[in-house]
Amino acid sequence: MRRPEVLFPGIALAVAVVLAALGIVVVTAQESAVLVKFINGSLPVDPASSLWPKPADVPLTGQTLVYPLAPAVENRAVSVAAVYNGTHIAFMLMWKDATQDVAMPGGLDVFPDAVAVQFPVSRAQLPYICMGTVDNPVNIIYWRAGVGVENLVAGAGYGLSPQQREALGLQATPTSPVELLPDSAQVVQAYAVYKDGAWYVVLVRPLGSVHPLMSSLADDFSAAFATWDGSKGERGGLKVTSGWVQFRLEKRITAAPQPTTVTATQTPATTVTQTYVVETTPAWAWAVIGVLVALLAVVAGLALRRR
Amino acid sequence: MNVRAQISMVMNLDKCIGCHTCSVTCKNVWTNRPGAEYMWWNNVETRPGPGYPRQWENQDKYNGGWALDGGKLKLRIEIKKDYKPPGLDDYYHPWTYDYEVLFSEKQTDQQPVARPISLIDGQPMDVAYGPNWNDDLAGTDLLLEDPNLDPVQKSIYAQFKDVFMMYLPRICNHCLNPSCLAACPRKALYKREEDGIVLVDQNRCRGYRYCVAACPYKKVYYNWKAGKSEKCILCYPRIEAGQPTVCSLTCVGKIRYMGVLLYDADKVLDVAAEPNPTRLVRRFIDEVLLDPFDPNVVSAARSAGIPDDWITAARRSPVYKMVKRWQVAFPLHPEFRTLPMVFYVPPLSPVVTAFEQTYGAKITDVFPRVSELRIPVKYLASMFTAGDTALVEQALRKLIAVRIYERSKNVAEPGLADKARQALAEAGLTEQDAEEMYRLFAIARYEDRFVIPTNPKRYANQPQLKAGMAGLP
Amino acid sequence: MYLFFLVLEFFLNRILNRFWIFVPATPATHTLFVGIQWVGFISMLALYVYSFLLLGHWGRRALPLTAAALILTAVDLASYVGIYINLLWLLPLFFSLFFRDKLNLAFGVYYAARGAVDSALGGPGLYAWVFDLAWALLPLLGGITIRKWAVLAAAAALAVVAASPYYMGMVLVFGLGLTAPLFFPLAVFTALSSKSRYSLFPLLVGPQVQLSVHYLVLAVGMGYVVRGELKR
Repeated sequence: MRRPEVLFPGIALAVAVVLAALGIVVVTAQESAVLVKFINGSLPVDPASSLWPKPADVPLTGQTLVYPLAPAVENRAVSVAAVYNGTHIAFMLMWKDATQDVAMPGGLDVFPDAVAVQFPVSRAQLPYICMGTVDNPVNIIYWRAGVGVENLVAGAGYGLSPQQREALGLQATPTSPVELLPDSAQVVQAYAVYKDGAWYVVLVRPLGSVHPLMSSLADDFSAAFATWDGSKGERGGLKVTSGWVQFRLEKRITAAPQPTTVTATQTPATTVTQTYVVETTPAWAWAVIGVLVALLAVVAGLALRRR
Repeated sequence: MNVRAQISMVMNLDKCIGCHTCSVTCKNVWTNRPGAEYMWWNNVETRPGPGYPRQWENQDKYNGGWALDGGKLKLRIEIKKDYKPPGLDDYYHPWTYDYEVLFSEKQTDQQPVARPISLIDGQPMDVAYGPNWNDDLAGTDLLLEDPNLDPVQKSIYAQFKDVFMMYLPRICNHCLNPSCLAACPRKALYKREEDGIVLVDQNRCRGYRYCVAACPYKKVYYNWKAGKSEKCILCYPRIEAGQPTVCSLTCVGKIRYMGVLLYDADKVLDVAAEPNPTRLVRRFIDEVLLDPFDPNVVSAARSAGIPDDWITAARRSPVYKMVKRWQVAFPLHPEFRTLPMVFYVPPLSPVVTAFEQTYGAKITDVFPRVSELRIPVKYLASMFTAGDTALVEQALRKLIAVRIYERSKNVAEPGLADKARQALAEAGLTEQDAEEMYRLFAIARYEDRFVIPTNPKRYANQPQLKAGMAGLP
Repeated sequence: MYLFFLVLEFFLNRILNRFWIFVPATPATHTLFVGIQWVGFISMLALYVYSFLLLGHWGRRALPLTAAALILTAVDLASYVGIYINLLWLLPLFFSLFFRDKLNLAFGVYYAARGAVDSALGGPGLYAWVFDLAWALLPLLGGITIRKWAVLAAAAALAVVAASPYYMGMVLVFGLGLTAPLFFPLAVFTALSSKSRYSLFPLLVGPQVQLSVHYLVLAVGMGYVVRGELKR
């Protein structure tokens, strides 16, 4: 009998190839996810409400990739809590900021404190963390103190033809990589309070998507965060950002989402991203198959002893 | 040689009377809007003075322009990592007056008074500062804020009898190496290929104001209402139609001249990175700006796609004559390394006729010598030639020589003809030059001042227009 | 061979494929990327199978270990049917009690602590660097000998991280869960200089476990290093 050192890798490899070809994933991701609590009824807009679950701390670091570069960036973080009901989802974001900077008339050197939440538009693969790419855009909710909240898409613009852009309600010629979604998609509300050296911002948006370039959050999703401290002159690229954070909905929505989401009434545009839908075995089967494979491997290992 | 054409401007400060008509016209046409009340795309500064915004020339305070960092050209905002733009206090709090009260007040013993009302929040305010608060020699402390005054001049100023004054009208210089354009991380600023005008794309701009911080002349302004930045557009809709800018057209003193300058785009960065600032000025005028009569330049221009009537306009250009041929016009603060394309003819100072007892034996003639001029040459050199007084002196000498020459044609004074011949020889001018300068400076007909070409054919052959698409991608 | 699969999985499934977003997309680089994804994926699955093969190979004496691994893996896989109980972080600690070795125990405690913090608090937040530093320095507990190629490897790692802290930071945080990229060269040095062969496993897994199979590898690796002989 061949020594186990040669046999085992061979068996492992063979089984792995078969599993991979069948698209069976017997491994789970271990990153901690933020649980989005389900609430029956209307969502809280008061940051002090007791309905919010315990917030998770998301670390933020300064971007050191391209000009302009910040002189020094200390450790910052934003606390995130999220709740949802059948139709809407709300995020409560809290971050420390020593000064309250609000955009004001005549504020020529005032940069407002701001926060942004970024979602992937496509569920096929997580986009590039720095505001997506042409093939894999991101949907961003951007709030600025004194200005208000905007629903944006980043990255999509240059990958589409003018006809596709007009069908999506965007201006035919792209003017910038980050664009405002059309008015029909400006469905986000923001409620903000500055108290005791910290901002508390509640962002409420529909659970589903109202525009092809807006993400649907009706299933587990990833999100990334960024904050700007106006007193440090932070605007645009001068910001602190986080990586992708997993969000898990408390209850799985088994049926199609009850939310009566307003779907776009325009003629459906050609797909923005070429997502390759791989026909895999359903996820629950992976659990069963995984345990079975493990058991079989143990038995095989046992059998191959002392031969 | 990569030849490009730009519509440039010369301002003859010898003729500026500080009437501010240019500022008012520009304000009424372009910046009479909410959010733009404090902006003066064209402003006139009484010098010496802090300027607008306050002490804008002090780049230790404002971080604008370029600097050499280890021999490499870098934005000062990037070197210092300080991207803060000026605040409203650095400009001024714009105000209007409550004129309505003059009509609606009830009759009393006292006259009704219109109070100043802030244009930012509509509330009554106390006016403490304005965009040219030191006008008419008001407020010595403000005057002494002028970064161009060296300590010697400051003490001279304190002795009132040698006080001097001049006016400095400013617009965006539409530079060849604009730091505003380089500073924008969204590439919202661009320089037009056909005429070199630098513009802010209002669709792309998100109001980050890196450009406001980076411009050393502080000629990009943030519109706090729109949340975007704006700047002088050189009235490009008028330029495209062959018309001068509104500030030039309405100038009462006829001090503004507009024309085409051909320049070598390949040389721009090299000259901007020249370590010695006085050499930079001379290299800018000699190497970057081109001679439209040189056949090499003409053929290179043609191959670069510059139309023939633009080349003809470049030959007739008053800007070319003043900047390159006679070398009497200079850029503003070339040491900021942006290669500005608005040039200034330095002022001669008031020509004083009473002398002897009043001023001691300083003035010896009807026409002053350059060394006797009231406005210190060092002050002018600090503003226009990075301190090169010789360059300013030769320009002033030429202006004086033209005056002496013209006087000799009209006045029968013994020895004046010889003096004129001598003055012209010292200045290096021929009689024909002097005549031409006189026509351009003194007579200043509209057709001579503004030589702005258009070329409908240049814009006709555009495939996207033929295909029926509206707008340019 | 076991370690080789881990090395393959580390480089292909967690480093290079994260790094690939910075590589310009051409048909050639895309094909290469697809190849990297597939081989990385297969090596990850192979590690899973190989771990259980080894557990079986250790025989009846390893029954408690095998049972623990099977049960905790089954519970973890139950997340695919909507049951979210995550206790896999206990596995390395449990195994370390059987393989009496200071370093094994230390790492067992470390990963248990990290797993507990991640599950209960959602992450160490601002104190992630404390965990990262602990992870990097733990191999010192097992004693180190200065080896030339360990120093060279650490220097190379330092050069790569210093050349582009942002790119490498991105790659390391996604691939290893390491938030302080400069700790990576330190970890390379301590792990490669360590007297115990086990230290390579935590080095390749990282301070924060990204996939469930890594807990298996960390646990089974303790036994693999001593060639399956249990020490009671």
